[in-house]
Amino acid sequence: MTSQRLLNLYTWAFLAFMFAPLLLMIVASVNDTSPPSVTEWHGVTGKWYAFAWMPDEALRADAVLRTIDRDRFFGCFGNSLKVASGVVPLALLLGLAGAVMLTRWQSRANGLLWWVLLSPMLAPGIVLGLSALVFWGRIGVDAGLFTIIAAQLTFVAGYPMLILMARLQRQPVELEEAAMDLGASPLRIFLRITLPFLAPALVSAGVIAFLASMENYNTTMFAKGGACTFATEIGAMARNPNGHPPVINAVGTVIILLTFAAALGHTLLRRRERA
Amino acid sequence: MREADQPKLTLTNFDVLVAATRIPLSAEAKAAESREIGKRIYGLLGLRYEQSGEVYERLGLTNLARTLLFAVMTTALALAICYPIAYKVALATPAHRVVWLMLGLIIPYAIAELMRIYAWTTIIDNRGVLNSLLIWTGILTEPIQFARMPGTVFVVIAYTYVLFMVFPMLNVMSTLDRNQIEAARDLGASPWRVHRRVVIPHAKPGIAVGCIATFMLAAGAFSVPRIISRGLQAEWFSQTIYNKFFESETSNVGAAYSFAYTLVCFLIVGLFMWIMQTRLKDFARVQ
Repeated sequence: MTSQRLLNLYTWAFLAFMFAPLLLMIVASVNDTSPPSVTEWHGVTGKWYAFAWMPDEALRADAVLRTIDRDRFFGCFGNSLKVASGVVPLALLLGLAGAVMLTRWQSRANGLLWWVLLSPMLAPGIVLGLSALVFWGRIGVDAGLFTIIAAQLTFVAGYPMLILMARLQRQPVELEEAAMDLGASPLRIFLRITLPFLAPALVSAGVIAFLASMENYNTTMFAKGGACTFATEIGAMARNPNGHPPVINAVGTVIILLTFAAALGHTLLRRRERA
Repeated sequence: MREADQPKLTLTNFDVLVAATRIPLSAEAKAAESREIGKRIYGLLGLRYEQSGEVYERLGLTNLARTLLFAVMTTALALAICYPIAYKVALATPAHRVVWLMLGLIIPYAIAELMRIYAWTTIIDNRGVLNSLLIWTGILTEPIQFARMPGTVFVVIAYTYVLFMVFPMLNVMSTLDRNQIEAARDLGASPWRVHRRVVIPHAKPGIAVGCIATFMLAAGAFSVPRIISRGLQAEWFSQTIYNKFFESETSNVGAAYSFAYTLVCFLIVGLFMWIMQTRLKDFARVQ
């Protein structure tokens, strides 16, 4: 059937569109030239990876690597992890509270509540960062990691909320009602029935919140003050007139490989469970 | 009136947004520009006018209008790219092979947003893959300067936020009973008609949510225009707001800009939701 074949062809083209930039990035990460290129081949090198552990003398000897402040680079990466470790648990807590409230609490204010809880996801990211900066500045908190966490939390909390809500809507209310008839307290019902039911959704929501926090640039950029995160640090390299150093490609390659391994492992495990 | 008695609230910061600036133009440049379709539309909207021989343009508002138009075009592009894929994954693939397609969708998303954008610079540079390929095959002799084309920014934004368009559509589409499509086909409907009468009506909430999410991400995009255009294109509004705040000491004006921007974006989303008859609750259904 021709339309079927056309769709298959398109799917392959789409996958090429998705993966070609990543493949080129990986190839450029072993090319001995900066800015990263795949068209001008200067020989294979591992130095963009070795950047992470090479001794200081070797670092200073290289014309490109010498321009990057390694301690700052990894310091910023550490900052990103710190921010994520604040954002993820708080986002899960807020998301859980919002999800329970919107699915279980029926009132006339529900429509308004929907708008309030979802509007951060509907606002341009830059505005969220700016408002966090201005708000906390007025209270007297200097811009830094805390304002980054506050700014990211406003929209990241929405993802767990939507994911948890989708699962809550599938939970039979009868279970909770039965437990209530048997005299269980609301807290006990929540801890023994609702929370275990939500566990898988909580895990995936946590992963998504972590990824969203780590990669966020548009909001963080506005709320960061003098601090830096991994995303803003590699973003700052865009201002380099000679283009960004291939170290970024090396870091990206490592992340891709880790993700690929994790996704593949997850898929194979689930397949074995089903079989 | 003494200074202390003056009201503390003022709208002057918003005046900067609507203020008109005189554009110094030679006679030839004026004639050339007045033929450009974009400038004519600005004229029709009242964003550009002539007064005693001089051309004035409301630069803040034209910037706003252009960015919104670009965001809409980006959304349309993303919809066109993603609809067939969502259909393919949800309805036209045997279940055991869906896993691989999902992996293909998720892996590019897992690396940081900026990495995805940097990956594109290798392709679109003047000496990048695309230009080298085109010159090598003899189609071109001079490289195309992709960094100067707004279309490049659209494509990269669509690439960066593909998942936000695909997943809402995919999740709604996968609730459609495949038998309905079979039945429509058996009754002799063409593929086009199957989509128009069966798949699209069913997937409408997903399409609406995907469009809204992508539109908001495109309207708030700061990283893509900044990195891809490298200052070779007109600023997006988000960049203007950034400059008002951090590159010059006009944060009050910047606040007025961002508030006006949020308001306009909300209005557009609200209008779109009204046209598509989407309710906010659909956001939860499609996840």
